[in-house]
Amino acid sequence: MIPIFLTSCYETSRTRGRFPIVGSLALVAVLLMAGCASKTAVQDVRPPGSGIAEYRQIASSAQVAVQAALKALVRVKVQTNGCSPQALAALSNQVHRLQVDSLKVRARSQALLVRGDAYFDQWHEQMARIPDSELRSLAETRKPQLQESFRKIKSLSQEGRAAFDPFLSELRQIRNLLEKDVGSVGIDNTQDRIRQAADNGNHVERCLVGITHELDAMQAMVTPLANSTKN
Amino acid sequence: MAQRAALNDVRAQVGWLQNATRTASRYPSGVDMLWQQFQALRNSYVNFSLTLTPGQISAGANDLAELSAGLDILQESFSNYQGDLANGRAPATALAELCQILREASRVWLQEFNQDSSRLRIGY
Repeated sequence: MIPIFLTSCYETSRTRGRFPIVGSLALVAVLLMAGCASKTAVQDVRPPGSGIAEYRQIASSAQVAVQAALKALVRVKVQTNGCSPQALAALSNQVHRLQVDSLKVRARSQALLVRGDAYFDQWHEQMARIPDSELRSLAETRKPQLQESFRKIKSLSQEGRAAFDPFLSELRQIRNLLEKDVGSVGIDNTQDRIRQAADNGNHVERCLVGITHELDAMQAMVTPLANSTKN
Repeated sequence: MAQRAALNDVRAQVGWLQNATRTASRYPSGVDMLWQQFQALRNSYVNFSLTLTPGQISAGANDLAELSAGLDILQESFSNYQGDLANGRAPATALAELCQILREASRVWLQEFNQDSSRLRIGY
């Protein structure tokens, strides 16, 4: 039996008991320990500042997956004489891909929300280890602007996460309906669901675009002028 | 030494979970098998977390939070499976999808786990 205090707010009444969504015991343990950990010896060995590029890459991959799912949804929406097997297979495939390809960005968003300012502080500390003194100084003098961009990313992550859950849920329900009856694509209820899913999907995409935009802004803030004009 | 063993145990548990995703559809209790194996992975990850030094925890707090979040997200696949059954999806189809998602997503999670462990010099 899973202790009740570990169950998260994502748990639904239908899944309660058998497969509750469990809040991470490991996360709680790690975060508690991180709070009182001494900053000794161990250093992250990735190149300082590489976090921005890495985050940008995972946000872009998720954006591609969301766009592909939306495209598959549009293809289903226009099938007025029953959904074709190809359109349904494409939708099923994209629902599947979306769940896997968005894993990293969802995990990062969740970590960012859980750790809040501590997430930024750790990232900024990493910037302070840059051997290039010009870059180091840029990261220090522009800390308030970087922090502002981080706050926007955090807010967009929260918004995107909130839209992602209903998006995925609607997509699954549409796919399930069509698997049972391909003709159901024409009925109002299914068309409403498709519209709703598309709205949520577009919202998720806007959030991902916003995150990418803020990451680009952060990257520009820590790029010396000479380099940025060269590029 | 304990850290290295805990690290290897997490990797082994992902391997067992992936094996379970290949065989689960042959058993009536296939989904329970997957659930148990997934919980074994979670427990293994908790044990692994407990072997980290304060320095590793401090330097890797963001990465470790992401790994934990990744496990939470993987676990959501079970709720999605239950939701699909409740919506009348054929159990075999729903289970096949759950297996495929767990297999692919756990592979992605393991890549991150290995990368983070290497960055933080865990088990060296």
